[in-house]
Amino acid sequence: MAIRLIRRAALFVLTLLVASIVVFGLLAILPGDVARTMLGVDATPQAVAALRNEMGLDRPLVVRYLEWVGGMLHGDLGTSYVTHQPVAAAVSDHLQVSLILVISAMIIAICVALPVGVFAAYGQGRISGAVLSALSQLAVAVPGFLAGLLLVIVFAVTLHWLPASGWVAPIEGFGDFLRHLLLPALSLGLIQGAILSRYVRSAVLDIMREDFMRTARSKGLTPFRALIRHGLRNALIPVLTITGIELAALFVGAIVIESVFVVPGIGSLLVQSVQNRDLIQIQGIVMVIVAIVLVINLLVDLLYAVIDPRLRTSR
Amino acid sequence: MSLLELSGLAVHSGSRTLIDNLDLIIEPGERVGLIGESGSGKSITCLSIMGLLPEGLQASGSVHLDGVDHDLLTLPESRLSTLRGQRMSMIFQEPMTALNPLMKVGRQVAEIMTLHGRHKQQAAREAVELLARVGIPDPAAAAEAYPHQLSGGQRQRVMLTMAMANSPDLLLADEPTTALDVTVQAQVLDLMRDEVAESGTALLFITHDLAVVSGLCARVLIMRDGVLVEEGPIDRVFNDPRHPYTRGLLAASALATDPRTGKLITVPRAGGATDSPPSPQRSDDAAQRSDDAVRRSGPATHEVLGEDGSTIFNQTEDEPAIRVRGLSRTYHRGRTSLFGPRREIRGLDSVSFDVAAGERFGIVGESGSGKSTLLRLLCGLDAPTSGAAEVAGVQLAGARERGLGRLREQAQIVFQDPHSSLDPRMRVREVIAEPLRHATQAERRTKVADLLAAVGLPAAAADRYPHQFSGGQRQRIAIARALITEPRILFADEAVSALDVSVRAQVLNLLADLVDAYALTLVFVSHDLNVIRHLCTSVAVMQSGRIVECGPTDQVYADPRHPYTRQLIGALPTLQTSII
Repeated sequence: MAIRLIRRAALFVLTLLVASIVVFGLLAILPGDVARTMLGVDATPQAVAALRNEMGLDRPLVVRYLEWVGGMLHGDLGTSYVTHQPVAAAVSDHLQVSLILVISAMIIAICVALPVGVFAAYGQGRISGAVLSALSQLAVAVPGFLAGLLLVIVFAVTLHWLPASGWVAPIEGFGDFLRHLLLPALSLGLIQGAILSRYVRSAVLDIMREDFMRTARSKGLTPFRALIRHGLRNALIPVLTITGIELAALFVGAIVIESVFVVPGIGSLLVQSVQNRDLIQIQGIVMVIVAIVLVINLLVDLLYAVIDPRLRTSR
Repeated sequence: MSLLELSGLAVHSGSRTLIDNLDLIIEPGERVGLIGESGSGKSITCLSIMGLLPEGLQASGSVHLDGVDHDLLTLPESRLSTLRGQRMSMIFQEPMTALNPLMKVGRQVAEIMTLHGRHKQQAAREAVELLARVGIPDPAAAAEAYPHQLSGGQRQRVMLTMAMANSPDLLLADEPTTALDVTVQAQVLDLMRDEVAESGTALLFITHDLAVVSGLCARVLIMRDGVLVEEGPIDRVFNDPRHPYTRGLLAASALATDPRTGKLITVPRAGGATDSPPSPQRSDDAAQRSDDAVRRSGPATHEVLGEDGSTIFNQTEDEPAIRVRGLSRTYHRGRTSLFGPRREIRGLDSVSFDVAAGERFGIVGESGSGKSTLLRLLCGLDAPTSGAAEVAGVQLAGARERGLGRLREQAQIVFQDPHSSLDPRMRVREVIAEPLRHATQAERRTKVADLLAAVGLPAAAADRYPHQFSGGQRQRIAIARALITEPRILFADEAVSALDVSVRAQVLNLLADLVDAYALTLVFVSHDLNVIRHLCTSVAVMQSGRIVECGPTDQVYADPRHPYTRQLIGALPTLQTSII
């Protein structure tokens, strides 16, 4: 087990390194000069060159890359070209908001997907199963931003229960924080939950056909108890894979929802940085998102071994 | 009062009848064998009694269990589940998949006791005691293990422990030893007999293998296509079968040969027509080659592995079809510690032997003996760690895939499972003709037609897909595919193990005919000693990656010299029948 951990950690660091080269390289070959953008079209070439020199953009790529990576090791993502504030601080502020949003959405997704998926599978061939299955299929087809707008119309515009947009940090008032969190988290989570429930359903259906489920029945377990006691944990293995992929996708999906609800998350920051051609900030944000996705993958890999004893090959 | 009474049981799947009007009575403590081939409805019978029929199957008739005032077929699920595991329980064929892979063995055994009212701690304690009783070494540790950490035989012991934990009145065993090695099978059968005798449990033992029930059951039922064709005391049924199907089944199981033709007796089909294809004609040229081959290979010598482990078995003076010297294949397990050496597993350990041209060479051994590893190496599907092998003049060690083209033309293989070894999306014509690289369409067409005729399939089969054929027919297709390159050597990996006994006889007859007609050298790998005895002239016995004994088949079976060979032959269930 220790060997597996060390191996997996080494792979993690290596992937991160490759990702940093790709991110840096891609943004470096992108057309559009920062200095020129900042100074506007009327700037003289001398002024642009002076600014490039000041910002260090005239030095070789390798030097700039090493400087960037070296900075990251101490948590320094550089200084924004536009706001002249440290990138790391901006990223960490916005990331907190996104993390709260994404994790709440994932919890909602799982809370929806597990019961819906299990009952859709268990009720297969019956009306209850067909209804659940049809509903989840319908929800899969709805884009996240549309779900968000619908929720706003119902709960904010018509019922006035919840605010239509904005964000309040938890320390500024927990009740207010929850009220602002609910709609964006629901519009992200419900759709992901519908998608996830399709996978839960198919995993549970597969498990119900397994030999050991028949054994469980022959021991005297009723079909439902057999499913809960023997089926669920087995069905969780394929579901975990999808959950990991979805969690990563949620960070990307959050960009749209953050715009719809005017939530100051990492997505909003990214959009803003792209508009300003704030390359150093874009680099930092993308790198942080890549790192998060890799951490999620790492955790999922480790969780497999927790669920499935066959993967703990220490004996 | 009898324990179990089935009357007029019928099971339908839509309009199809799977079981028709079945009557069966089992007395308390009685041991009954239910014998039939795949599709005969024997497992469906078992599942109807338990009330575990898969969705879509409807049972009618009645099933009465002593002490239950209600027909089991219409009993509500809540009451049925109190009977299952308590009054009647079941053991399944595949012990790996029948146990929950994510639950500790002890908990799985204890669960059946807690479900029927035992206290949790007490059940956990008893589970360990029960595991000890069925002969599992270190039962306390086994209770804490997961199923994948046990061997196949141990898993089936766990299944038996579980089924017998509440001393049920009726045990239903569905092919419980089919997936086990012969020596393990014998142990599990003994254990099962002791367990049911001790607790006075009645046994309904389902199997396709007549020999297995010989020492176990007093009464047998023979089932075919959902209908009971014969029933009676085992001695009477096995020695004086009244139904022609029973007679055929007995002959096919014993691999009996017809004295007139020297071929295996096959089971008559329902319509009366035989499925046996006409023997393939052997060309004069091939006949000449094969006669030469037989003449050249003198009688093989009967040898046992020497102390130093370097014996060269079955050595021939002439150029052999296969020459293997010191062949080894080592596998590496994942590292368990950072600095320690990697664990090595010797799949094949310095094996040396020859196979003469035209010889029928059998390799027999249990799972894990290295027989499949050896075969994979000889077919060029895997590379040896060390040693040398020459097959049909091609050096295998160090050869690259590119250089193996000639080998693939000269040596072909037929695999065990005809269901999964044929590409389901290719037509039979494409499956068979695929190895032909440079042939024209017309050549392909005639060759495929010739081969289909040779393996006894109609020419129209070429345009159909593999799933439209039965298991036996699919294996014929696999054989046709193997023969299209006109190989000199045919490898067969458990080629009849997945087939029913009646079909097995047909495929074995076909293989024997084709080996003659095409003057092939046959290397037949099997766990089934009877099949090897029938088909092969020489046999090598493998254990733990080595050949431990090798010689002419008759001599090895009549006078086994290595202790392992003796054990293997001793464990073979024998069919006591006098009809042959």
